[in-house]
Amino acid sequence: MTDGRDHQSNPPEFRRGQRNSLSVALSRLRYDPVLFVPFLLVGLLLAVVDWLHRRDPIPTLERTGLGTDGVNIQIEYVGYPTGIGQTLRPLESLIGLEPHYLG
Amino acid sequence: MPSRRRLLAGVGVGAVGIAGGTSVLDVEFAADTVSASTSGETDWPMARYDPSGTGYNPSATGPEDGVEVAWQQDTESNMYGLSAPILVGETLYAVGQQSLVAFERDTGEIRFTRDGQYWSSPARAPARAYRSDTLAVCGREGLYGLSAGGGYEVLGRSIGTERWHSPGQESQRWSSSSPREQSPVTADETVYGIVPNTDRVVALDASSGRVRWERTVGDERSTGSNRPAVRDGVVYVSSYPGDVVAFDAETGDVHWSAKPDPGEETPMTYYEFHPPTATDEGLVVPYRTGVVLLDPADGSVLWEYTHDGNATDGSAAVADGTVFVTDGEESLHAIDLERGEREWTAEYVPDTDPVVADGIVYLGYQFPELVAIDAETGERRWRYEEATYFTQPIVGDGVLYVLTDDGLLALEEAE
Repeated sequence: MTDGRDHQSNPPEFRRGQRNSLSVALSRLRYDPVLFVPFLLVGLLLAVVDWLHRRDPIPTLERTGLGTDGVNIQIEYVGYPTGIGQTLRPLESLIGLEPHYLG
Repeated sequence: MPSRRRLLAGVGVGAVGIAGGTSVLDVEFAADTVSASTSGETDWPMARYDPSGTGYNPSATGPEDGVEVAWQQDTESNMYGLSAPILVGETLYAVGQQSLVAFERDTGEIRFTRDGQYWSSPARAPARAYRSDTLAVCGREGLYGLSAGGGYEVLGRSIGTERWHSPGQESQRWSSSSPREQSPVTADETVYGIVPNTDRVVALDASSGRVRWERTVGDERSTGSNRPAVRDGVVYVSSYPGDVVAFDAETGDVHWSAKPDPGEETPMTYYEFHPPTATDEGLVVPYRTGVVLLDPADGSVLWEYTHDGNATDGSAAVADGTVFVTDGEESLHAIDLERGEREWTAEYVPDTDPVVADGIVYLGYQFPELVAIDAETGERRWRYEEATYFTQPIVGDGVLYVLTDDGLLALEEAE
């Protein structure tokens, strides 16, 4: 019916393993603090992306409130959903052109 | 414009590709000869027939007293959607959820199928730089210019189909519902359309996709601009938040911008406008519970007709001095264009865009019923129910064409 003893005996081993891994990791970081740098950079990048999302969750134009009509600032972020700024013409658009437009 | 070097490189690549394709690959050649010269009086070259959006071709005729199937062409991909087909010369074009399909007008035989995420009815525009017309269509990421000839298909991939892709907004949204964006309209060699998910109207060159002008309708934070209507060198755009703007078709200059006040007698704070129809008398703009006629000179309200329905969709057809509009609850209304007075009403539930030809009003919707109603009397002429649902129909030379869930259906007068 019950196997409670098995369950009671497993967690200490797990916790012990986890404590070992954590302590090893922490000691390595203490020994070589430069290892923090990539984590710090990724953290900062994600923080910036989060800040951008919070600042403008839907990429629309916003008024900034200078005067009654306001001044509109449009910012496009690399790696952030943006519009296509100009008409794109693929290479295949050359097919079917009247010959004198190729010159 | 591409540099000369890139141009020459492109020509070389294109020539090699085509030459290689013709010799060793399975190449499907579509007829690349569809041009303005093959167009006729019974064409239906864009969603609402003409740039004014009348939904009425004075030269077209359709089935009058009863219908039978002239032909039906099922397609591989689902033609699920609300966008009407168009008719140019001997070719019908239809947009499905994943493709553009061209059909023979007389037989329904498929001329070509090209993959693409296009979400509106196409609109045909002459393109002087090309041997064939341009089809302007709105997709999920902007407006596209496609070859009316279809280009070529090499090993299942389209080449020479897309000519340009205009400014648009990247979209990550996915929808299981019908693909739908505001259909562009064309006048001469210019394409007028609404950039998807924005309230920006653009005028594009049909050959190159070059932006001639781009303007915002109403408040810059608003969305919900409707399909434009173009008449006498003016582009009219209405929006769901109640704005109507008249732009110079050539320059994009604003002639006027109006936001009519519904008045204190109604709980509305603004008109929830649908797409406009431009006429000699003025601009016919339906809204949820009625229709207004606006002065084309300044946007002021000339008359208002209230039907107290609940139309969340649909524009007006205008033919021979009568406005036809659905109320979304129970009726199709025929309204005198000059005075704004009711001529008759006929029982019809959905809110949709009526089309008119030769004294008959045709109505189709995502509803298992296609209906023809006499434009003079409001009497129901016939009803066709042999499909799960229909798009808006179009009418040609005695034949009505409509997309169903299976493909394209041509109906003619029953013998």
